[in-house]
Amino acid sequence: MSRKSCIHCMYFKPNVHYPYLGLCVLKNEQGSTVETAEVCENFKEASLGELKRALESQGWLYCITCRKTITDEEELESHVKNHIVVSGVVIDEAISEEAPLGD
Amino acid sequence: MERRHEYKTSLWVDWCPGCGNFGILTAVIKAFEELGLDPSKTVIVSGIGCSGKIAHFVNVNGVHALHGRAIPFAMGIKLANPNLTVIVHGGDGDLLGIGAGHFVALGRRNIDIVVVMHNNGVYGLTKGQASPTLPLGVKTKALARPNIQQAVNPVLLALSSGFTFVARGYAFNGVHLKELIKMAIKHRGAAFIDVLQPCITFNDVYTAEFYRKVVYELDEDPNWDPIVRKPDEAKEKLLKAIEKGLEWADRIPIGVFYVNEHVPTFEERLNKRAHRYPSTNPANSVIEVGGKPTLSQQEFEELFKEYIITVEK
Amino acid sequence: MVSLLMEIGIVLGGPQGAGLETSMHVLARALARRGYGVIADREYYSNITGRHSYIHMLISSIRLPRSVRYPVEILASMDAETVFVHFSDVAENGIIIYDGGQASKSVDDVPSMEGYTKDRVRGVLTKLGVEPTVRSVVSFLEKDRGVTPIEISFASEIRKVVNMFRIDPRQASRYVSGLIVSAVAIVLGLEDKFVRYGFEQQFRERRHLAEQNMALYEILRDSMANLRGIAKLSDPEIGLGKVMLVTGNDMVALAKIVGGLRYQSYYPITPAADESFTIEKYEYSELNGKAVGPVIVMQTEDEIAAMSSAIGAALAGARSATATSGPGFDLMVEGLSWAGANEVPVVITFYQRGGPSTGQPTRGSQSDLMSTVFASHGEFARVVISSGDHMEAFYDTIEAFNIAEKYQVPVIHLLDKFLANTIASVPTPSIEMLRIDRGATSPGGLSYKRFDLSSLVSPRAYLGSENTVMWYSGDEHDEYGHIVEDPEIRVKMYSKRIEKMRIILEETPTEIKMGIYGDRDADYIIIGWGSVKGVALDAVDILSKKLRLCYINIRLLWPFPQKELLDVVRSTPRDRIIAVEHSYGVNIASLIEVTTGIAIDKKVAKFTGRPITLNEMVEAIERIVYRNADRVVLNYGA
Repeated sequence: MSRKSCIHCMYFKPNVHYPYLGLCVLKNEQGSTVETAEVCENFKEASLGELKRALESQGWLYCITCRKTITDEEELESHVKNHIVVSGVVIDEAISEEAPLGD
Repeated sequence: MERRHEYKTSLWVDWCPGCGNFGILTAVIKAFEELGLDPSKTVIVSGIGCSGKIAHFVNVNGVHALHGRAIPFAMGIKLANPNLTVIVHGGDGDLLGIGAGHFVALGRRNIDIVVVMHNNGVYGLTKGQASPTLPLGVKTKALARPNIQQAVNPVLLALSSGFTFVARGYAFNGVHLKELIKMAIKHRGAAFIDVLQPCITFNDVYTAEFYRKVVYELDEDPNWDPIVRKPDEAKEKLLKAIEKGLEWADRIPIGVFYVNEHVPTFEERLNKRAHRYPSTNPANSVIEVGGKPTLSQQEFEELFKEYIITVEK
Repeated sequence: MVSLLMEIGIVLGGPQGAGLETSMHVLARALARRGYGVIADREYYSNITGRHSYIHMLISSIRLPRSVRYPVEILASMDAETVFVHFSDVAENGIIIYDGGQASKSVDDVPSMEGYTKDRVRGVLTKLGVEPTVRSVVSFLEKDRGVTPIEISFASEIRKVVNMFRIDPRQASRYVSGLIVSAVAIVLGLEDKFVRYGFEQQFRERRHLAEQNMALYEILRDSMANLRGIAKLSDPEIGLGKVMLVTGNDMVALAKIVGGLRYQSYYPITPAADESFTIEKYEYSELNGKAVGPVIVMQTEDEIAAMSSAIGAALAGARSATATSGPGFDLMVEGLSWAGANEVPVVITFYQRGGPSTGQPTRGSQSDLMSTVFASHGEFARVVISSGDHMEAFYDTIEAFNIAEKYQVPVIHLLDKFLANTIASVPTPSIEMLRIDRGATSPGGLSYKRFDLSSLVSPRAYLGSENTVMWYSGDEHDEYGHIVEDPEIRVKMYSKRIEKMRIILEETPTEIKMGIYGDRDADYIIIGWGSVKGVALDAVDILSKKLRLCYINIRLLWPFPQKELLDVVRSTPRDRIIAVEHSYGVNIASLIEVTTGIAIDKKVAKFTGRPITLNEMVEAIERIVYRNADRVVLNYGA
């Protein structure tokens, strides 16, 4: 994974189902950005410390690779090694609108 | 003019001699008389057990339902025809054991129904097992060993569930009980009366003699005012009601604990969604004309047009 | 690629809650608008979002389809999991549409796939000598089966739309679904205006989404220009000017409103609750000043309250019902007994799902036949009816109320998840033909006897009738409804209730009891009920050149129409009768044996929770007829 894209950037919150679409917190509060071929000049990867702080304040992080919600530091440390862990995701409206009766 | 015997059926009342239910029955009948209730528009819905039989002894419509389920039966009847006066009678086991879920649900809905609980601490018709209001450690003559389950507090449960009229009566203080029943019927919303009922056959602890000594009326205190007159008084009055509700053992209060008519009834909530309800209700809706539906083909297709697709070439 | 087919099978797949449902709705509407017949079976997990879901469709230009089949001509995948799970479903020379961005994903990269499924897929791929990656699987399909791969870079195509408009990232799924719809519509050669219609109907309240999806469609249409119409269907010739596009749940809900339902109680349960939500949507309407309703839709604290309150409402004179599934019905069983004892007209709409216990909440079955026919203590009259398709479900719903009120019995309308969730294009029902029969009613009056013994069905007054007082009791009761223990009255009252079954059988028309299709003088008779109907009828058609087959669709399950059934099967040798059911035991065979004495040895069973597909049905019949099989258990389909 040598090439970096927005998904590795701490300012990008990917759509939880389609991570190539998401919200760039820096560029555009309400708009959206698609994962671009080249990262912009504001690209910044979150450090482990920054992720831990985000975990502390939000209560959860998300591992895109495993599609898993991370709720403690131990989990974070084991996922962050080889997986893409993001500090926030955009919840797609389809989840509540399309959810079937499940039980 | 209505005469006393018109509210009694002719069936032989087969409760045990000395049963508290006789006092409750008399109070109910007198309350109906004094209110001049139309028997054809009144429904008693009862549960299972000795108390359940009351439906057959009062000359109004009676629905002797399933154990623990009198409240949901009553809900169906009342919501279908809100013009009926619906009164639930159940034992404490029926209403607070097996039926506890429905008891709480009625409080949440505040449907205009009265619930009269025949509270005798035992399951009489099945030979006297401990029921939800028998305190921990009590051993009645019917029990082989002392009760190992704690009692639930009916007044507290009613208050926290949302009943907007909460009272307690005593089966052998008939005049007082009759007045409570009248108030409860007139109350707009879910009303609950916990009626202390001696069970002469199986409960030799909570007897008429015991109650005579410990029962006192809340109205003895001229300052006792359970009515919420403005919505922001609710919390304060609720707390006072809870305090009184906790009194048991050496002094047991009877009377009205709490009244709050500022909470919208379920019928009022439904009216907000369907403004013709309750005057147009499930019982009086016209659903057929000459044996055919009231909707025409065209009206059907207009009403459900979101499902219809016209083919285009 | 063969073009100008008359029918095409399609599987759309993707994660739940991520746009798949939207794709299906848009596509189905677009196709129905064009005049094609559409049916769509929906399969999903007991899960809100993330797990695999797929839509299995059949589109026809010659008829309204009534079953689905494998293989399918088009597989459209929103994700990698769909490719792995469904690649074997693609027909020779078919089409696979997939996201290039997923091409390098391997089976191990899909966390939402159950381990057993992964193992099975890996096993199949290993045997075929194919790497477990999306790219390899697609390549295998291309080489081995002549499948046309259509790789679309979802990210790039959607980026083009992003560059044109501001897109809310919370609506990303709307564009992925738009992409899938567009790709499928393009290969089907569907005209632009129908695609537009689909988007506009779906996004009625959010027009910008319709516009943006059309822009996405146009982009794709141009980049897929050489693929346009490679799977084109012949022009539709079904000849209906308009159709309804509905699920079974919807159909029953609409029928209840037309049929005069005014109180529905429910506890949320799959796959029944959607019916109550639809009724609630229409709880009160005004059509040119005319009020329809109010229908009270009551979400109760549990199913016991649902059944109890439905009974209460019926006593007060409302047409009243509840809708549930297996676990909920179990809780209603005591109430059923009370309703039977008190001759209460109440309808339970029971949508079967996989059991036992919590079972498979989102999968279908027909395993509750015995439960509904025999549940509850004591002996009393009840009626159980079932419907084989959407149209039957509509008419049967109203008939259920008529039967309930005419005979004053609880009626169970037994359906299943397959019907509940399947979307089908159907003709608009004929409203003018319907009858609302409230049975023998009475104004009541002094000394009214609710349970008057002078007739099997005592004229019914409602609680609240003028000058009338009546009693109901779960205890055995006399004519007034008071408790009675005298042995003579007991016998009279108990018998009266049960003997109603006799007049129900006498008076119910044969077409309500069962549908008989095909050659009466048949080589083999197939017997089924509920969701077996469509696939059985299609199988009978397909096999008609070499076999004379008759299909009997039982609709009145209880009281069982033994006389009519005996009439049809009397001269057929026992080993020429085949029973079909979505269950382990194929219990309709046992019910038939118990009531008629006829033992049925040939059975077709499927209990994976997925529906019997046409190819399976045909194969099963052939195995029984030509290879002497007795019991065929089907299990195809994810």
